[in-house]
Amino acid sequence: MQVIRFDRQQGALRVEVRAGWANPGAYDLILWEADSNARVMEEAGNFLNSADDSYTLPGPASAHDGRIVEAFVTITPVDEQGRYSASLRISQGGEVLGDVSVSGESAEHTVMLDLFARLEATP
Amino acid sequence: MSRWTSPSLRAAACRAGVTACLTFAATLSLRAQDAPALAGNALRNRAAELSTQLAVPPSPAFALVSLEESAILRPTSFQQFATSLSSFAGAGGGFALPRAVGVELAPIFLARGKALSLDQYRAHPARYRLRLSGAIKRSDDATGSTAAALGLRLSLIDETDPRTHPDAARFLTSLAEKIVAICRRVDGPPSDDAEPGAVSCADPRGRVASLTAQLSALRASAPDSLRQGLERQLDAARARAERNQREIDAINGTLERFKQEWPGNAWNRNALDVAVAASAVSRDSLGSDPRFDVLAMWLSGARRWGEWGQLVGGVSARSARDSLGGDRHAGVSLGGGLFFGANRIKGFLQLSATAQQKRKPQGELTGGSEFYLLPGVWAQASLGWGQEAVTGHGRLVTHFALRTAFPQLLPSRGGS
Repeated sequence: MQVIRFDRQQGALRVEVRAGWANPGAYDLILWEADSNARVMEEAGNFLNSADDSYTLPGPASAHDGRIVEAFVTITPVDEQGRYSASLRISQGGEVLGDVSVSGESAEHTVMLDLFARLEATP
Repeated sequence: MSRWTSPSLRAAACRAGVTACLTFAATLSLRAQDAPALAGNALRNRAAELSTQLAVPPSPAFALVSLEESAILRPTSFQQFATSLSSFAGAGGGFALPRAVGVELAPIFLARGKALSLDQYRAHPARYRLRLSGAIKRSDDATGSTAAALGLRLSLIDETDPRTHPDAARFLTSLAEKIVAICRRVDGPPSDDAEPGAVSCADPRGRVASLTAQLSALRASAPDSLRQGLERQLDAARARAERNQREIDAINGTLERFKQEWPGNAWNRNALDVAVAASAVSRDSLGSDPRFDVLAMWLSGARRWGEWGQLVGGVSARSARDSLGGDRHAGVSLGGGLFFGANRIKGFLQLSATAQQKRKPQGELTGGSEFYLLPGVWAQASLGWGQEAVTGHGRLVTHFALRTAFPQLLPSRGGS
């Protein structure tokens, strides 16, 4: 699992879900508690408007140490090749800390992607 | 062709005076590998495309340098384009072009594709629909004279493009939301050794595979209670995965039906296309003594008229060098028509006029019908009156064509 490190002393963490190739789609964003099956936050969205696909994780940055941020993304590829691309971007104070992205081509009507990363605070 | 089912009617019409002609044109894999709006373009069975005089060619450069489909490259990425070019490397490391080659791509869409959001596309759809085409063809004769052409096509308005059609984009999104809701049922986070990627929402954590592997790994000496516990968990995981898969299959079925019906709903939507192309010829394959050959421009528009009709209009202009005398001559064609009916059967009335230098203007009035026969097979018939170009005498114009347009239907699969 990809690990994304952040500064526990800095500002809030932000997560953005993005899709490429101008494909329609939707996602479910989950913030998992560290070492637990509990959901700290859950948001649903779609790619009709990218302005509302960025979320501030609740609480101070230090609270997210060990938590897992995950996005289930479903894309309906429009073009013939079934090209798709989606990413989960984590940032802090305007700086991009990491990007989990998946892209490819599919012959299916829908492509389901699972994007996730563990958040770790730097000392 | 787009994965979205659509008969394509781009083959050239055969107009031969009073002699009826039969065209049997297989239009396989017509377009769409490259362009964003191919979704839109290829799923058009729009009335304007019925008329060759009004239609903007899908690849303008190929209209000036005729190429076989097998000679055309339609790269889906710049990397693929570079790879295609590297295949032309000669034995000595040089660059050896084949006898005929054409390239068609949507440069802006390809450049921004991976990061291009739906709303960015919708803000400037024409920009991303821009398609460039280029072609080179060397003659078979001893001289090796070579023709080269460049063209561009711009779809300024394309209401058959599902990305820009608000209802279509919203509907596709709503289906994606339903599948995401199935994924959301997971009961815990991904494991430490999991990697991001494509999954099935039927069983996103791969519980069935994991439990199956655990059962297989159990030693014969393992307690029965442990084995039975795993078997119960596996049965429950399988039942849940099957239930989820049925829901996903139903959603994909709805999506497939929508894609099949979309061309029928979209045949008479508004459209505005423009294209330009130019070609040059050289005396040999080295490009000696190049001469400008043809400059051509096309503009066509279509406007929906209620649920059953479409008004179309178009103009094309061409300036070409006479292959014998070397003189240049120019010509302009204008046309307009009314198409009416439904996707599976349409009637049309069409008026066109052509003016060329040193020739009498020609006019033609035709009416006819196009109708669906079998899956992938369409017939078009028309009857009209026109003027001979040289004598100016009237003549009967008939046209009959059978066309195949094999839809690239996706099999009914259950999604990833």
